[in-house]
Amino acid sequence: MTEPCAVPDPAEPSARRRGPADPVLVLIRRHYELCATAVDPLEIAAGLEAHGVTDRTAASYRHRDVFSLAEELYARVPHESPAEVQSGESGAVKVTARQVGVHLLPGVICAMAIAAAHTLDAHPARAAVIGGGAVLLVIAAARAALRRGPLRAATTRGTAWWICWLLAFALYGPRLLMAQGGPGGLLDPAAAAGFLARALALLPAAWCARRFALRARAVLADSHGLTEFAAGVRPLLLATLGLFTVALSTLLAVAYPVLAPGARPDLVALGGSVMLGVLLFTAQLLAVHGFPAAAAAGTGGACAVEAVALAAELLRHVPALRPLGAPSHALIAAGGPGSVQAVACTAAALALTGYAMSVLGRACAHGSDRATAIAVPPALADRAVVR
Amino acid sequence: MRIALLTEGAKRRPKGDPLAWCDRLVRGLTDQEFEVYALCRDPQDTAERWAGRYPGVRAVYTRPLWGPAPGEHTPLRGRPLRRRFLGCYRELVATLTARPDTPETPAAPGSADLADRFANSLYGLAELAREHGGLPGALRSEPAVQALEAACRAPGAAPLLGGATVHDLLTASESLERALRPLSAPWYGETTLGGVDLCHATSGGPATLPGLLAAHFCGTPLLVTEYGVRLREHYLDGPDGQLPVRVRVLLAALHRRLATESYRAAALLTPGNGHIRRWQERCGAPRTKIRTVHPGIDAGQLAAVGEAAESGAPDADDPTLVWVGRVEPAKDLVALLHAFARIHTAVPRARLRIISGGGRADYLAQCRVLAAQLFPDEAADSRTPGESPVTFEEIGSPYVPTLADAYAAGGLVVLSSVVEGFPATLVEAMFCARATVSTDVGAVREVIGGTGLVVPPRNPTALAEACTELLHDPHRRARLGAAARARALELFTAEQNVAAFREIYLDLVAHRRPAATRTASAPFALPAEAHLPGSWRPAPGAHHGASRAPAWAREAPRQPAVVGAPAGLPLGENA
Repeated sequence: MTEPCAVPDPAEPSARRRGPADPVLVLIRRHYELCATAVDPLEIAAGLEAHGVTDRTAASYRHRDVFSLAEELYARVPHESPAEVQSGESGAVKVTARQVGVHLLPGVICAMAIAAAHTLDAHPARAAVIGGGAVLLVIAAARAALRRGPLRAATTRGTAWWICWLLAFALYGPRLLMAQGGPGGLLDPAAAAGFLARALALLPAAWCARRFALRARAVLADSHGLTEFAAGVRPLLLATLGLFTVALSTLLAVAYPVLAPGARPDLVALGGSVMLGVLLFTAQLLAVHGFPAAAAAGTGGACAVEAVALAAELLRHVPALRPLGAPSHALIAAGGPGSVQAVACTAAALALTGYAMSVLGRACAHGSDRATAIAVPPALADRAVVR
Repeated sequence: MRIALLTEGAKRRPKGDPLAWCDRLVRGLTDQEFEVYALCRDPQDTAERWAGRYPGVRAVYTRPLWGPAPGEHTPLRGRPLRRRFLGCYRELVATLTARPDTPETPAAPGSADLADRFANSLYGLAELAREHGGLPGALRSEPAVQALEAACRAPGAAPLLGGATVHDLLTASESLERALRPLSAPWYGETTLGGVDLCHATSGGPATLPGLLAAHFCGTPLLVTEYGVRLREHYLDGPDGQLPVRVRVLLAALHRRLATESYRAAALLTPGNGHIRRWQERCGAPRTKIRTVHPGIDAGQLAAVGEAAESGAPDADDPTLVWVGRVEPAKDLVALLHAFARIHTAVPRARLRIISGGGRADYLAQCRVLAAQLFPDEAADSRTPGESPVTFEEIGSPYVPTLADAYAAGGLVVLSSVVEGFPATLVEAMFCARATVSTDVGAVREVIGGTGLVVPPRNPTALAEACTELLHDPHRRARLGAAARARALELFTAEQNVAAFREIYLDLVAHRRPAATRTASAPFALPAEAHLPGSWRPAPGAHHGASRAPAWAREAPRQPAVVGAPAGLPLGENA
């Protein structure tokens, strides 16, 4: 049997005065913990029975049965205020060295692809093949990393295609828009530096997401109302997005001078690269917290803007349709070939950020099993075996 | 008949298979078709596993209660639907957050009102889920959390809930979603629960939820068998022990209200013993609906021991006490050892054999140490090697290969538990025609009747006195053993259990209102009273015509019970 609890009874002074006239007091002292933490009289009754108290025992306390004895105990013992929940890292995804390695893998693949493109005597066609392969490999590696890390999320159909398009456009879009242009793909220092920085930023992204989830859980345990929670978690989201932007910009600021020593940076193109990274991060954060549809819509919207711009630029060559391409042409003329990506990604990132500010302030986005639960495989859900 | 066995998988099964009686039922009633509807709490609990456990059933349907909600990202479409959901959900949480210390007896005016509101909102949610789906997503949505917060802060809510943090609210709404997942199970169509003749819930609590809905939607009668109080188990070792206390308050309220509603809506309750019956009555079960059906024990392998004991002369030279069971602190072996110390001084030849069938190794070691201290090895003379009067053995060891050998090993069986539900070891000893001395816990008095000695728990002196008395009187031992065997064969055989359920099935199906599309298979498809909407005789002074029948009899014949009707049965069936 478990030892009876020896918590000092608040009714101690009166115990001496009343003495044996109150036999229940003995029982209260013996089962103090049970009575103080019980949520209703039936729980005390169940606990008493588990300690061997029967209706016959209850009769010796001048009660009809265990239930009425339990009701007296429930009424007499003051209920403890619940201890605050320890919001530790218990529920969060553990970070291991292997996970760090897996998150660095896309960056390594990307760096190797850029090096290969530069060493293989810079033939554009060969570089294009290497670039295409690099995009696919990086996406595969990133998905493998996302599957187990803090950025694990339920995905909707199409998101992978949108991301594929966005990354490919970031590499080859400027060259296509300019129609002749310089070297595209991995040989273009701005595009390649952006690609490399984004691939390397997977690790900071995972760290930021994990930090956000943990801090949000702490706010969850501390706040006493949904509005209070929303007010606490929104600055946290802004700080997380800001942190990631700073990390990505730093990576880009290091990568660009390495790939293009001494060149004057095209700030619009580099800004577009950063905004693409922010867009992908925000979308993934939304998916992690249970809004994969919004994530798909945001990335899909950016894709659509880019595709429209590309189509308009191509249609400009048809004389009758020349006015259609005028706005995008003016944009490219003003801001350079990277401006289309910059505009599309900035708009989408801003829209997603606004949406995230609204929905990630809700408590239901931070449920305990959002990020950590194993999804029920369809093979196990709602099964039927009929003979 | 098609019978649906409603059951739930447990995360851990401490002692054997508690649903062995269901298996016997499926094997015993071969003329009925059984289907299993299981709520699973474990990734290992698959439909194939259930089908393997019950080879005789026609179909197995499972619904997982673990993991993220199915279809979580498909919310309710449209504002009217969402408003309807919120209306039901607000009512539901309002009944859950109400102060728990208000008296729950049916006589109290407020409790009936709360129980009605709970039932109405539960069925409202179920109808919503049945018509439109999307309930799990809605239960986890932000408006649901807001409704829960408002209910916790409302006047009249339990004071403890007023300080609920957002973490509490969120955990509570997730737990509620899991508990209410049977509402959105695809089980209420014509081919599944809508087409069965009877729902048999194998435990109380969540397992009755599909049966409640089947009764609500299709008028299927519900039979609830409880061989352990599900509500009590929820309090004692439910999986919610580590949850925050405010979430426990809400979940306890949910289980309490669910128990009350299932007792109210069930056509018949069959508790396993008087202790469970008291809990059911406490939770508002009407006495008229309760019929105790003792769990049966398979006595096949014990029969030989019992017959041998009855035919042979009483063995006067066998002062051996036997204890059989799982070694657990609740069995209070320490008291048994202390009692045996006294027996041993009174009857020096007495031996105690403790035969364990599994249990906790640390407690067993503790008992071994105590036995070694109390009973040092001793010998009759200076030449023979000494041995202790207390031996610890296991079922399956060379000396005690089977359970029957365990009971055959001694002339007196002792039960020293401080906590016990239905004492299966006692019944087994009765089958073996052994005299018994047991403590007065659980259903022991009810089981033993007058065929054994009963002493208070935690009282080694009383236990020792009773044992010594019986050890000195082998004829009395034989008489008690024979009486115990007769009683057990009459009341506690597996066949008795199966036969009782066969009768209950026929009885319940006979009283069921006929369902036109399903009349082919069901016996008593058109019971006589179905044609009698009221009395044949016109009421004095009544006019001829439609007004002869009371108003309720003219309603649609398949209308299920009106929620909140004073008696559980639909009014028309009281005739």
